Amino acid sequence: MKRTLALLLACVLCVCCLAGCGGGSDSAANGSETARSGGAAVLNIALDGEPGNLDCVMSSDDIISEVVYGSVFEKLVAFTAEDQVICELAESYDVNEDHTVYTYHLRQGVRFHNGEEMTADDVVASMNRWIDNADNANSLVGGAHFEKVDDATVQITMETGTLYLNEMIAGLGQQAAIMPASVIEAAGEGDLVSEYIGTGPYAFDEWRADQYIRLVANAGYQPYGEEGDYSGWGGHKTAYYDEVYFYFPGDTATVVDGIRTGEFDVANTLKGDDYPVFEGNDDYTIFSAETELQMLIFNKSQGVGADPLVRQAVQAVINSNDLLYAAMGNEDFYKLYSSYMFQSSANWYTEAGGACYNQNDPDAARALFDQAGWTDDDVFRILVNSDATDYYAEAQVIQEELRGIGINCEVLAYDSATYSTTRNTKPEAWDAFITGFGPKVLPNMNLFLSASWAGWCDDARIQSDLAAIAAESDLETARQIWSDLQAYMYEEYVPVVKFGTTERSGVCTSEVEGVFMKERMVWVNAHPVSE
Amino acid sequence: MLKYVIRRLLTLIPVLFIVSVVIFLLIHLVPGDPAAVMLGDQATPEQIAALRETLGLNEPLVLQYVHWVRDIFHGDLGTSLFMSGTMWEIIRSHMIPTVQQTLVAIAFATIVGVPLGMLAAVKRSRAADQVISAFSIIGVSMPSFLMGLGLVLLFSVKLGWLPSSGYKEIGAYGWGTHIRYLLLPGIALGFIEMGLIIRMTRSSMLEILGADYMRMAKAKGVSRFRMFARHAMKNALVGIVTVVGLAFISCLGGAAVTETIFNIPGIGKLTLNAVMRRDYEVVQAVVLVVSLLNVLCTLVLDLLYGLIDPRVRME
Repeated sequence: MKRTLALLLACVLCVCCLAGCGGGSDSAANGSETARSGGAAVLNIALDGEPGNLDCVMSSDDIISEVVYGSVFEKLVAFTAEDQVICELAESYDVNEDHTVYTYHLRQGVRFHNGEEMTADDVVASMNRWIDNADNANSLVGGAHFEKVDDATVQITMETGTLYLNEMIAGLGQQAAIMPASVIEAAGEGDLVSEYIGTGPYAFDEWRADQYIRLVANAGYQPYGEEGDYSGWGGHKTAYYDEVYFYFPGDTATVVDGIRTGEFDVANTLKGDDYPVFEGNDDYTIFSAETELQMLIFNKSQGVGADPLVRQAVQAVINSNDLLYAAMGNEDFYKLYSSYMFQSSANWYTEAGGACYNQNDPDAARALFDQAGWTDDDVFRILVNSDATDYYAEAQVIQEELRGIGINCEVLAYDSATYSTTRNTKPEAWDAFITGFGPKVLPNMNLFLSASWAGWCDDARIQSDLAAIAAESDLETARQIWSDLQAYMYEEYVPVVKFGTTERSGVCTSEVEGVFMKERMVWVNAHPVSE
Repeated sequence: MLKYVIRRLLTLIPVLFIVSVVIFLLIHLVPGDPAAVMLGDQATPEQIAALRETLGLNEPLVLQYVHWVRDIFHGDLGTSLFMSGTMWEIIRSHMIPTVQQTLVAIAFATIVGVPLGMLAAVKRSRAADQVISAFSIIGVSMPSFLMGLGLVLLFSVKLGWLPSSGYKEIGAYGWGTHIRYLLLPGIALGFIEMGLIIRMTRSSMLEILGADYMRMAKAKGVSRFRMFARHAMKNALVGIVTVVGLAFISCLGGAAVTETIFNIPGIGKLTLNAVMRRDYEVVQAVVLVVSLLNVLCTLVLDLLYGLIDPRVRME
């Protein structure tokens, strides 16, 4: 017995020796970081994935914008927290009476991270690249392009006027980022830029694949506005940290442990299961916002989804609460309301057509399927990204609800790359897919209403009404058009079935202030608590 | 010996050819488009098609394979669609953390496994043997992700002794920090191998301890220490080296799980990410290089047998 005990003790000692060599406290575990950067302030952010690139003009991925928008790249105008447009790289702007000509007077003395001064040529090249590659922007301006007026002024002249060009510039997922014309020319048409040079308070420094992205403070940054005057994405920005590291731990447990041990200061995503770890603990701050509108988007171009009666039937059977509870696991993390626009979008929020939302009426659904001539051989196929566990859960609930009324339903769950390829290039292989969208300040920005994006919302009334909204100079009239259009979409066309809106959370340690969630995590003015 | 080595090296040619064809077809025939991944969820089919054209992804598959093989003969393993730098640089920078993690894992498995295995053999059927055998079974059956999470919970979150994740380079952070960041992943990765080494050492030792020449040595009055050190240990080494060698290859290939849990930018994580985003040439190059390494490791292992045991020496 004594020998056994001695053996066990020896094993424990051995493990302790291996574990203990070189450090004895949590602070020591992170001491190397401070030493390496010579005592400089370093912010360590854990992201829920690694971006494929950092070209936020070409790609609409949230994670790209989280890293570089506002920090590395800036735009002519930006949104405040209340979605008001304020100037950023534009000193001011003029709009003519019929809203066909927008003229931007540029801030002088703004320098890119490579030391070159920002000129009208850079702005024209950047804005035109954005228009050429962002479908919604192109539709809004009717294919018009920016032109240089003089060294400090650029202008765009459109055939049809629009009230909302500044909102589009400030708010679109594909960012209207200003970068040097030379970088854009080097990339060529339709390709990604290979250098990430902007005007923001942080400059891109290094990207170690699978390890980290490092931004460094831009010493020559010239902030806009007065110190402390910062809201949403716009206003006075300061690089409080000398270095900002973005890490990509692939596992949520790694993120949670990393925050708890001080390895990371901020995590951009906190899953519902991990919420209790930090909730109510003064050492951490959870930041949340309503960030995603989740919906089922029908394939209106072919297959069973092309029949409006089938779409109405699917809309009738869905119980949004069941779906969102399955996805989020907690009623506090989602909201149920019918508007296709977020509640925060004061101008466009409407409950028109809301009687068709969240019907949960299997009998009406079955009757509509019968009216559509549905047979036992027909199958309703839902395409879903299996990496998005919430969407996958929602697909399974819809499948059960449809099976409950005798409708064959198949869930096609693929990994991200297969999912997006199937969705974009094989419309014959699916009838609907599940995805989510962030808040938009204009109905026209909603990609699910686009005639050229997956789902193909090529309906004459929808497209003409959206064009009318874009061209309408009276806000009240535009709101009425949108309200009527939403009612039409709920009651007749049914391009999508809206489930509800979901909340996204992130977490940071109490040592960091100034990080919050808007459409995505905003960290650019993050600073140590002592600042 | 030289003939044997040359013959073994020549077998590499068909092996690598088959591997190259299989991996090329596998990764290209799996649905999924790197252009769609690059442009994000909200790109239109037209934008994706334009980028595919720019990236040269619309060329016929046979032509893409021929180009790839031709480039390999020119020393160019290909170009990543997502990462900058040459493929050799990408593989080298990701291979280093994996090899370092594997070395820590093997060191842990050997340092703990061999003495415990010997002790179990010496104390056969006693309490110590039973405890060690149970420990080795736990080692063999404990998944590395579970072990990793347990280690992080104990040594990082509760005790605060070691960092929970990350990788720090020697050049920038020094040896101390470098090793501290590798300890937990190394132990998690090496725990299974430790279990195997304990079992292999124990059975090898038991076989040798029961051999006639050991009984003879005992009868001759050879000291207990000399018996173990000179006779038993040396003869058991062939089996142990085999397990350690195979463990090294297994750790190299199986590090993806611990690399994910501990956020280490190793070759496993590179392969996983490259497959997920369909970075074709990275997957092809990594699989080719790892196959080459596996074959070479096996060859080195075979040559080691000859050095340890003259009975299996070639010629």
